[in-house]
Amino acid sequence: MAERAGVLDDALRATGLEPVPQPDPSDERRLAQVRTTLSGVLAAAESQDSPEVATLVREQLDALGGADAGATAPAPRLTVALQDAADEVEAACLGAVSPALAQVLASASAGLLQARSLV
Amino acid sequence: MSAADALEACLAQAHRAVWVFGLLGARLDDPRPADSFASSRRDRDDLLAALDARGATPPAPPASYELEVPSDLAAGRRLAQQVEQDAADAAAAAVRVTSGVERRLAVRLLQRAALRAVAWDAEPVAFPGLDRPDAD
Repeated sequence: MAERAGVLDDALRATGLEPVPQPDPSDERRLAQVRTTLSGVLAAAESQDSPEVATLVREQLDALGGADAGATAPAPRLTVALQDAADEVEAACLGAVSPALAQVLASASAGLLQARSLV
Repeated sequence: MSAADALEACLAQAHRAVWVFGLLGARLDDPRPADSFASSRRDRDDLLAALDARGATPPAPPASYELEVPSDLAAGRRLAQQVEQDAADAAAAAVRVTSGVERRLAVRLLQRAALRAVAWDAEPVAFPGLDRPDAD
């Protein structure tokens, strides 16, 4: 638990926000799911030769605790993958217990939508 | 900051955006002001509805805004990007202090501002609306 709480704290610090004293377990699960989703988008960006999108998503992942090593590229085109990921990150934001995490996830969702312009 | 204060701050940005894009539409031979005007007006109307649902009476917008009137497309682009950055900042702050349907609205406002910004040639960023001290 301490290690997972550290990941959430690191994520919040990396985006300029204050860590939460005691992260909610459901937020830890949301953050893990978001990392998996973003790792899939990163794999898609790398496999579909979109280095600018890869850079942006890698920055998001770095702030949120790092990529999942075993992620595989999703089947859809990159623009579809970005839209789907934005929707998933938005859903995580809406359910987040931590206000700070909600803010980070909302921003990440908007960043994924912006990234479609790079494809 | 309370949720009502945060939504009113978003509304102030939406009023300003509507005014700015109206101005840009009259001065620039470019289709983007009309699109941004319509989208910002939607933001404004959504915020007015949200505040009405709270029973709040938001302050009326100022009659005009003090700003340097853009003389060309490049200046207009810079102004539009700044307007959208300010709108994104306000929306991101609102996400933090809202829940339920109000948080959903704040997220939508943030997403719309981010998309309008790239329509005005802003570079996509990983975290629109958040000041990041250092990405490294």
